[in-house]
Amino acid sequence: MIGDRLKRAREAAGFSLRDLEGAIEAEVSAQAIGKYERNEMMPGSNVLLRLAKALKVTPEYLLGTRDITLVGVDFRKATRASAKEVKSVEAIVLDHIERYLELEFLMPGAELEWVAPRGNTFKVHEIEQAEIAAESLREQWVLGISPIANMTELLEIKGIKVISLDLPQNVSGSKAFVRRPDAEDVAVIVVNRAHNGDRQRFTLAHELAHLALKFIGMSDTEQEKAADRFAGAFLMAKQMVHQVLGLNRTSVSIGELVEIKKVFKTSVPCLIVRCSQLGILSRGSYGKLWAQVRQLGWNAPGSNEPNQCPSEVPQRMALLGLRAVVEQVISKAKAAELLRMDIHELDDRLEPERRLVPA
Amino acid sequence: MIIVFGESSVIVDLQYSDLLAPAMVCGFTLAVVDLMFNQIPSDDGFGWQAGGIVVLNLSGTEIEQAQAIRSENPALAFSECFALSRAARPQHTLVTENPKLREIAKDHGVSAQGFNWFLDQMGHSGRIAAGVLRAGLTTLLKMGRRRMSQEEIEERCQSWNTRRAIA
Repeated sequence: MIGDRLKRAREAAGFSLRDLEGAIEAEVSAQAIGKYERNEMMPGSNVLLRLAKALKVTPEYLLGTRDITLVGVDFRKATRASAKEVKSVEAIVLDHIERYLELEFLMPGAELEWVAPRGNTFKVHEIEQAEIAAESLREQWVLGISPIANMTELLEIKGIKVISLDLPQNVSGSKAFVRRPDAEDVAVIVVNRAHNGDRQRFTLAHELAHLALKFIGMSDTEQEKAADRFAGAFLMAKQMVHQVLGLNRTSVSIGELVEIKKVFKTSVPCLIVRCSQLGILSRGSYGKLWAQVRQLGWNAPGSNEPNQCPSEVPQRMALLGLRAVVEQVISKAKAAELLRMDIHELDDRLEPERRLVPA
Repeated sequence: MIIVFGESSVIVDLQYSDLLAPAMVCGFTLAVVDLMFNQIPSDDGFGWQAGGIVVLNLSGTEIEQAQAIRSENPALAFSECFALSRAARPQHTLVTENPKLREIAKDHGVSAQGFNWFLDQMGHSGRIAAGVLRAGLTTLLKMGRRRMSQEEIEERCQSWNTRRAIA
């Protein structure tokens, strides 16, 4: 039956039963939709497809039976995201994770579990402790001091499901957990697909802080600041920043930072803040650089800062799906369903040489 | 007989090999379930319908059956389960390249066959020249879409000719 999911999708879309009846041009009545939701009746496929289209979900989502829920969603800078937007994103995240988990289930040994780091280092009472926590996590994960080539890939390897979605421009992302019966929660980070790589990477590191750290006795604002501090320290290891910029500078030019950002794949404002945190910049130099950043509009959405890192695209799920087809664990039809790919795209990804149709 | 295709790649193969139009004159109704049709790009969909492919709906009971099959066999796609469930009606045959789907279909008493069987039906119908089938299969072979050697293609064409001569 489809009752629970139909109701959840309708509520996520902000529709009443009557609204939904209208959205499907009265193909069936609101009373009939109510019966579908109470599992008293199953629609035929023509109605099922129309309901899914009106609710902006797939028919497969409505037909799914996996019992999972999203908890702990905490959209970063989401104060301007409406409740409807948040519900809609939650529904998309659940749909995506359900397919991801199903793929892992079908590929024995593919499941990677997020294990939060343990130890007192990760219990944070004040903002500055986040610096030490970031260093410790780098050490635990044997990352050395080098910049991180691909944050998304790193987090996926560590068992965090990263989802890149179209979100409102002012929303950076969120961490969340997917709760499932008789199994551990699945850690998830959602990032805004439209943001450039510099911004996405910072969001990912910030959300990692929320997953890895235990904040004790800190206000929400302090927690956010600590997560920012962690993100800067994780992306730009202190020792590496010192090697690249020196221990103490009387002056740093914007042009120099525009070049250095290519090393760390972070934005110029992030670099400036990091230099200040590490005492590389004097208060005066810091203020001067920020004034320039504001003037250039590089601290605002839609910044045209040079040398922007391309957006990071989560790859693990797609690679797992292609592997499952090649190893004949699933059919192409199943892979297309799980990866939301049409059969041509799947063929192209599996065997690109087939694009060359003989004359 | 109504042929219900279990996956869109079979129809894509018929299109690439220019065998879709010939298949239409062999006396079958060629069909896909609406869930699968819903998943293909709209340009393809127009082409399929213009080519004579029929889109089939499922009743609520058939959807429940498809859902049950899918719960028991999570490696199957919903579109495959829909095709299987719909092909349970009389005079229907499921054609799929997924051996697991054929096996499950047979367990449910549903007639299920592979793509080569369908080609045999075309060849044996006597309504299209063996040369057309040979050319189509050779095209697919060159594109790497079929694991049938040129020798196997020739053998198959020979068998179709022989069978027709006997008939």
